[in-house]
Amino acid sequence: MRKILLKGTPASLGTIEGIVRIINDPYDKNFHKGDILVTEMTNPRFLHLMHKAGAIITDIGGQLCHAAITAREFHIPCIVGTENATQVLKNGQKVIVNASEGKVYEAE
Amino acid sequence: MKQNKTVLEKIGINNDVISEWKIKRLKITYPMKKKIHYFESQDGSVFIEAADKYVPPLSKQEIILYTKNPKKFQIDFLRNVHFYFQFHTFLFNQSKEVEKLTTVGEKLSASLALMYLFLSAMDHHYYHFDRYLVYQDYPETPIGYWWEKLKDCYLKAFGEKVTRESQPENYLKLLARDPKVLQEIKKRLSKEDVKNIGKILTVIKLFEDTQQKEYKIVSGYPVKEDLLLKSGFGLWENICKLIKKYPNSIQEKYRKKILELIEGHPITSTRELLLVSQLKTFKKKIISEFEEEIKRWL
Repeated sequence: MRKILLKGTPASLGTIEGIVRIINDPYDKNFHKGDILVTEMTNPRFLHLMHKAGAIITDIGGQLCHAAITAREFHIPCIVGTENATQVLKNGQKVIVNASEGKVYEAE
Repeated sequence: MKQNKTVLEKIGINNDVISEWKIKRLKITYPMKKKIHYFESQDGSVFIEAADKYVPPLSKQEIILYTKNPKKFQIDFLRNVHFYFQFHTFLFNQSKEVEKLTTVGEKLSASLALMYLFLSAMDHHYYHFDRYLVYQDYPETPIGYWWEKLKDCYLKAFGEKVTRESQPENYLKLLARDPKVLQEIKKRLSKEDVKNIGKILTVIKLFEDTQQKEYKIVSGYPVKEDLLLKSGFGLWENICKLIKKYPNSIQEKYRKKILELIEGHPITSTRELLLVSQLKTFKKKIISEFEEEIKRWL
């Protein structure tokens, strides 16, 4: 059984494995295609990162927050309202995001 | 010639300037009031504490109008957002003049007034609409009404109940306008029901588009720097610097409390400091100058 690291509200379906990148500054250059974008909440300044993201996880927000709407539009798995993803997850950590369940699992 | 100029008048914001803003329908109210009953968004404690609890609510007429006509909501909201962008950048630009005032008390009164105007205008021209975009859990709001209808239609089609805690896979697919799910719905529901779902999805999309557009406008996007944060945090920084440099501007018994308050999250601390109960912790002259200034804007 894989360890559940985090739970939240499923906002856009899909499951993906990737590397966690906690982003406070949307102009952070240390973000690569397929990375898991973890942030407090998104806004339009995050769009270029969201385009590259394998999945999106936010601390706050519901089904109609910016992250949820954009993720559905881009068909990227997304979990919102985890409350503390930016604290629980660590930069560089490998995780499995199961957005259909609204759960984040440890990958290794 | 008028003898006693208010603090912002001394930096060039005369009555003509204020009149121009009022002609453009600027709304400022004083004091700020915390609500007993309020809608709670899923935007985290900072926004619940500093926004949800203070949002000047939509009137009954506005609720009826915007529920029936969501496009009108979008038009009114985005017009107000444009206006608020102009106003907050104006306030920030004016804040650079505060340094020219001669006394610490005047500087603090002026800085508090600019911050108050920023927040009160935000409440009336931005939060007043914006908060309602995330109140989908409340069927008595425009978005909540349509959200509830979508959940009912989904229940009818798939026999699954959607709650805040349980979001079935097909419901999320429906929200994403997945063609397969829409096809499945066509098989399961009557033509009228299908037409109804089409209308509901169009309305939800309109609210989603509004959400996508508003932040771009208010923050000056695509300018790299977030101008809303620049204005808000800039005004807040000015106050914090003055309080830290001149703690004597606060009555002694409250000094420690206020110095702790300004170390908190800027969004919640700003709100808290500008409540009458906290404003009264400043020396009387500072607060009377501040109130004298705010009166001109009401």
